[in-house]
Amino acid sequence: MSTTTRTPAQPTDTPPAGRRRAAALGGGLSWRQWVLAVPAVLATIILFVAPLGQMVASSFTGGASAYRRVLTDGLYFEVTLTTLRISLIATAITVVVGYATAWCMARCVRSASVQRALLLLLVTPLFISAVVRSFAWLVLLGKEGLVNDIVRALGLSQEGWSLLYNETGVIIGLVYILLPYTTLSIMAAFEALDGRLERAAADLGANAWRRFTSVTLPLTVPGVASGALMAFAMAVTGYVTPAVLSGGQVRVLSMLIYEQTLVTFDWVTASVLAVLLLALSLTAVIFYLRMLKRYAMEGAR
Amino acid sequence: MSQGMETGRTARAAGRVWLLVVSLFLLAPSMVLLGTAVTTTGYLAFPPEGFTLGWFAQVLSDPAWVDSIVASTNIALIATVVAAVLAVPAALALTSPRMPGRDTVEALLTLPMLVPQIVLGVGLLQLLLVLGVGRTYPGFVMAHTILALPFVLRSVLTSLRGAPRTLELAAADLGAGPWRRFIHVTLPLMRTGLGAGCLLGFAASYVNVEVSMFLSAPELNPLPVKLLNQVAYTVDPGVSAVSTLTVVLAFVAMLIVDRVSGLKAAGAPS
Repeated sequence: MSTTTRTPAQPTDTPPAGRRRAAALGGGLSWRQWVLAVPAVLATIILFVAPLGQMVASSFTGGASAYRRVLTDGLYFEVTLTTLRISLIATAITVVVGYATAWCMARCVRSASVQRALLLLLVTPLFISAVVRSFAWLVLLGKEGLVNDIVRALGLSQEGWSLLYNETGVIIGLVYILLPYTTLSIMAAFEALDGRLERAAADLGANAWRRFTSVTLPLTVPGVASGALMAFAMAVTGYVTPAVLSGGQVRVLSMLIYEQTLVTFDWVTASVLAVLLLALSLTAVIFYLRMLKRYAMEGAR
Repeated sequence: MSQGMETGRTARAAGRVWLLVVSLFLLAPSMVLLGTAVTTTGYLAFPPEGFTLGWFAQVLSDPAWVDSIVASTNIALIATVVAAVLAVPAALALTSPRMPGRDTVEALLTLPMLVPQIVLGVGLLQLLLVLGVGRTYPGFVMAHTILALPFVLRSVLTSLRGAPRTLELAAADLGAGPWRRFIHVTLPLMRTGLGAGCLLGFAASYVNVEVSMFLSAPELNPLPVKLLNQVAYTVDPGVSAVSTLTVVLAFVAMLIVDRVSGLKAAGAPS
């Protein structure tokens, strides 16, 4: 009986320094941490969860009838197809151009200042409005624009190509907007690449093409995939580039959402279209996040 | 014959040509904007005819353009400050190992950046009108705060996770209270992340069209929305001049970032 009373010191009499240390770690005060996060969480609920909730609720005004109407209407179906077609073509071009660019930056440039200049060219567009960047193409691609001046000078076409107010123009503009994001994403994959693997392949007698197809390409695929999904999500949902470069001749989902909201004031239809667009882009985003997670895990190994 | 990992000579030369072509593609629009902004003609001419800075003078003395620039700057500044005030404590909570439901909260706070802006715009218009602040300055600031918040938060989180937290423990052992620890240890640790995050958040607000276009009013027209409306109707060298100003501003900002913390911090899609 007397032995049981001689237990070692209990945590209750920890010295003040130890308690402060525990507080700095967040140990034992877990719910107090919550207080710090509450303002941001509240702001997100009011300004993000509530607006989306409001929108979903308004899309169900009158039950599912608005959905039935939109999903069976030939016009909306056609616009959705156009949106997907333009986005897929723009994404494919962006990925190929972006991959080649990232490869060249990793393999063909030695000078650090050239690297920095190229990085500056890639990063700066992210800080310029899409309106400004698309407007410039309005000037470049017109019948009397610089591109057609060159086309005529080279004798490629007598009256020039029609590059504006059609899908071609929108795709060119989208590639220009998306290229920096995708290239930066693929560049990250090249930076994470272990150069020793390629060297080992070379030592084993693989030629340049073989090394590229069986070592470099497979190892950079996660970067390509995440870059492509990000580009696709942005292309599907973008409003500015198609609005400026289509001249109303090509219509995509985001333009219909704008028209329904601010021109015809049919907010129910606008909400239905917005919910459909949200589903479309979230599918891409979920795949994107999965790619990133898998990539991070492989990188940790 | 190429040896080991070296990229062949011809391949390297071809690669450099490719980079030159891509650089031209990336630069051409900026050059065209600058060119059409200095032309003496009344329409957009490229290459420009003659040289004048008159278009810049004209737009900078036009109250409509100046109001737009001021509105955009004010909204972006206030929204970024509010976002930072919300993000910093949240980031501290999220880096504490014992916070319950940490992953859920982090996902919720990141989500606004992954949702299409036009969708968020439609929702925000409907909600802010219900709240009675649709198409007003406060409404704009609220909407842009949610645009900036995820960028500031991600950036601060990244810098806190890479920082040696043992310094805070040392400060605690030496008897520093929570406030002193925050001011003298934690804040300096997150300084770079907070700076980069605020820059990204400011830019997210400043270049935004897809949310702003639903909230703008004739007397409250942020610059990108005013530009969009102009481009849809008439384009004159004045529009090019305003566009050129935004491009120059972005380049200057990036050159400063390059000097201070490296461009990777601004471009990293984390």
